Amino acid sequence: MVNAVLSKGKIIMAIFVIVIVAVIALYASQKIYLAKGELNKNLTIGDYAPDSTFFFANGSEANLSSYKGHEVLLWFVATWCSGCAQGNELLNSSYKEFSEHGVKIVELELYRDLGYSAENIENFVQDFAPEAYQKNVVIPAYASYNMTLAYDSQGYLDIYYLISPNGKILYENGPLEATLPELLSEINRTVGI
Amino acid sequence: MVNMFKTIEGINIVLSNKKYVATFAVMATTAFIVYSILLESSSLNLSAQKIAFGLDTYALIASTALGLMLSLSIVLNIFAFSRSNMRHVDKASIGAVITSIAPLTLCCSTIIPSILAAAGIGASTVISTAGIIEGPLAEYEPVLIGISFVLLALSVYITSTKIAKNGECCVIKR
Repeated sequence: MVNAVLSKGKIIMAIFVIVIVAVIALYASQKIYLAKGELNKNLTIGDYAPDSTFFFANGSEANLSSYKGHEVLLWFVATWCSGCAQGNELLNSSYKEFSEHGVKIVELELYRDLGYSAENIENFVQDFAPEAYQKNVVIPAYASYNMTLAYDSQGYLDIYYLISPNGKILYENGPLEATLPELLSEINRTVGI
Repeated sequence: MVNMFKTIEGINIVLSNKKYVATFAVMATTAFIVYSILLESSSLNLSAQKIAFGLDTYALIASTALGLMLSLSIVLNIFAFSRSNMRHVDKASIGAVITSIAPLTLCCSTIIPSILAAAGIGASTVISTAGIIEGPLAEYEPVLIGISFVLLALSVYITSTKIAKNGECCVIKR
């Protein structure tokens, strides 16, 4: 009992260290996971992207195949995610690099914002990437349940897939805000494939 | 009535010992780095470069304030626990430490989805519930940071006052 009382300081220190190590380990494991290009075990680079349905704010629907012939970036976000907002701000200052290569960005609100609804995706994009929105480089839309399940079954925030004009996955990564240089380099490399 | 003199005196007693200064420095640095990563939100990437150069003002101030206060609170408690006349568990301090770490680790990263997946929860449930946990934490993040800071400050005040009242006495010999 006395020993137990005496070691409480060490217990607190141990809890602190365990929490810190656990957090770092989780992030590091995700970093390694992403480095392998495995955002989604069911979808890997080179696969044909599922032709899922998504919706626009006016209620009309579209499929990935609607963009056949264009390189498309499918970017999955939640509108309560501050990192996603930062990604939009960055996109607003670099959208020309996408438009020059003819890449359309379909920014998709994950199904029902993963269960916690905030701002609608159209307002979100207009707020944080107004110029890119006006130039029609970023197209806000709502991912259907099936699309969310197909592309983001783990419920990750802020992930994207670069799709070739013939519907194949060229590149996948996230978050956009942190990986934009790699994405642009990939677009430069793959344009015209 | 808050007695700031007692608080400063208590902190001085602890930080006059090199061992506690070293512990405080290591903890504060580690806590700052971890808070920085967490506050940069949705950070799937762990980037030392980003921590060093990419922090915005909000993340920099919050990480510094929480890192310093959390480390100070823990070091003061370790000191208090090592004295035979201050061995009582300060539940407020433990609560403050947990409160200051838990909310920020749960928001906007891969942690919640990973925990849900590791718990064997199916994809359909994950995509409909992950936001229920992460969303409010993201939306009220500044409030949570404020509450965490206040709780840690309270913990520092209580513990340092206790130390100041008891002075340097009663080191437990092992």
